[in-house]
Amino acid sequence: MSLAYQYYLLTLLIFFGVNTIACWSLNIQYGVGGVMNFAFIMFQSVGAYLAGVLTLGPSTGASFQQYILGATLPFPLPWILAALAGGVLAWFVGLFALRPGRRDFQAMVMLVVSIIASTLVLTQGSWFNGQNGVAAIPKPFESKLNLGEVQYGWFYAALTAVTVLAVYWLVHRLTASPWGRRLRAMRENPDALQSLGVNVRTESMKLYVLGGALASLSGAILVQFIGAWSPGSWATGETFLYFVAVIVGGVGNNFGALLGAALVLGVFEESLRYLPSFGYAGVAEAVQFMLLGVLILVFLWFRPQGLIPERRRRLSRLRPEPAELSQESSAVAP
Amino acid sequence: MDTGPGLRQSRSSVPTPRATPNATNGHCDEREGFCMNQFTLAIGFGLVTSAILVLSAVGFTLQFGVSNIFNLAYGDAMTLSAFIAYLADAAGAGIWVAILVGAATGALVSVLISRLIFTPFLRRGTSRFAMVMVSLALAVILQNAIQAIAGTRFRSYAEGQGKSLHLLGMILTSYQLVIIAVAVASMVGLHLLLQYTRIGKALRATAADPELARSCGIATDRVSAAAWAISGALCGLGGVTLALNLASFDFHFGSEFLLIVVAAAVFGSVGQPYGAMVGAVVIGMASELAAIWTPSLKQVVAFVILVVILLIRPGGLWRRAFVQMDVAAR
Repeated sequence: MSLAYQYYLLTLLIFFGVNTIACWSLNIQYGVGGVMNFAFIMFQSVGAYLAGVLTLGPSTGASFQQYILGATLPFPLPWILAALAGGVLAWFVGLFALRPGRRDFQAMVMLVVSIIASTLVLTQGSWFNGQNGVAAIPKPFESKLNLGEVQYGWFYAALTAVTVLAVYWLVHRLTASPWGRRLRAMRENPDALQSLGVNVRTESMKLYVLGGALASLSGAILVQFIGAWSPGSWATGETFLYFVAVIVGGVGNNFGALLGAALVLGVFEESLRYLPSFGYAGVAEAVQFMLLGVLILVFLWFRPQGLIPERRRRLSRLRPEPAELSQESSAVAP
Repeated sequence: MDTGPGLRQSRSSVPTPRATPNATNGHCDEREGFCMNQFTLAIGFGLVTSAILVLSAVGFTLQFGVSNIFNLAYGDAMTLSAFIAYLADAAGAGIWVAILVGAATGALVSVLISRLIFTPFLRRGTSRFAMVMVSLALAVILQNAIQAIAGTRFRSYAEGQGKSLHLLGMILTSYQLVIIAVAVASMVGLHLLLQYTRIGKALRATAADPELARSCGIATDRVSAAAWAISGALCGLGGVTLALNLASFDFHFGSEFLLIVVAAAVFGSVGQPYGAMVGAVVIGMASELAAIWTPSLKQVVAFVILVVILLIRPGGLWRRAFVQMDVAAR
């Protein structure tokens, strides 16, 4: 295998890892808890930006880069701080975005937040360097390891894989825990859950903060690999792609989200790269997005539960009464 | 929602709405220093923005009221109406005919969307929750279809901006007066329709409680079709007037505007036409007044108003009616 192919392969692998974490973040919010985070891409973008500037060092204004919060922190700190910042931002947005009772209302408010955020980033050039974004972001340990580009890529892929496993462990434990059960109850019927004495808004907030942190972490991993951040590649419309991935893969199922990340964000996106381009610039991309729209309609019509449906949870070993059994297992995908 | 490749391209070429009359008027040349004239000017522009926003937000809120769906494809239906009106206009039909064509397109597209997509999905048992995804998918398909067919270049109506008129310290073009007139006429018409006609009463009943309305003998199917047609016509009017007011437009101006439309509708409690009217005027005026200081503040002001209203009254201004509707929706 030539080096170029190796590099392509490992790029795909790292993107797959990043997208998997992103899809898990969205899946635990949308698929498990029923919170429609239409501002998803904003959190990923914030994590990416923060991880970038925290490794770039203070802004000197050199090479046309102006940014805020510049620092030179050793490796795991930028990722951790990015995740924390995502959580804090989610908490802040959640303060008002989670106030309306209906989920689709919340989604609308988050969508507005997301669009405003990208407008602010584009117009406030001195904060985030406007449309140009920041570039030349150093990679963790690159200077110390002294590896070739491809070997370093494999190292980074391993780093990503370890993170993905850690996130899987966290997400799996959470969704399998009593809290996960509570989240599924919240998705199915928030009013009923509220009447049982659970504060639905608080639970939504916890979930939103968790999802925001994971989304930011995925952005941080991505930006340190590609080495550049620009608001254009984290535009509002990208949120749609992740939703397609989660819905196609399987709503509420972590492996479904993983499959969705592989199929929609991996295979589907990559296969279009090999198609001959036609028409004027942009037509092929427009058609690609139309296909994604059709794909989501087809799935919502024929297979709303996705390719790998949510596992039915039974409490048969704990409580053998058939009446309770049928109630517990009647979980319906959203 | 802005979706599609267009977003990835440079946005610097997007012209600022109403930049032309603002820049060319001789009254206030100094960018530095606040002058009183700018204030009255901003009120004039605020009136125009409010007029466009009233048309769009009331249409949006009506659709929600009767269908209980957040229709994210609304902005792209606006774009489509403006493009079809553009075709009529380019064929030499004149601006009045173009406006009518736009309204008709909006009505047709909305009825088709509801009949061919939304109703079948709802019948199949798709949750409200997933309906947002359905409408988002539709928005993506519509916007990218418009882009694939019409391309990414900017267009303008043949009429241009019309001649400018000075009124009470405001400078408005004749087409901006047309926009205000269309909005006022539509709102008066809608008010009369909702309050005094059988179909209007049936419509309000259906929006309040579809089950109850049906059991009272109201043909809710037909009423909802009528509501989609009316709201679609408003959507089309909003699209054409917005395109007329922007010096030039491209394939995603509608979805960009949807943000402010949603803010106005949420401000006035979604589903409440009168609330949306208030929300549209408040947000329209506030955003234009804010633009005196910085043009980029416009959207931010809409956003801040939205956040404040959500913190004070999560259900929006018309909360009482909203709560009733929300219960009925479950």
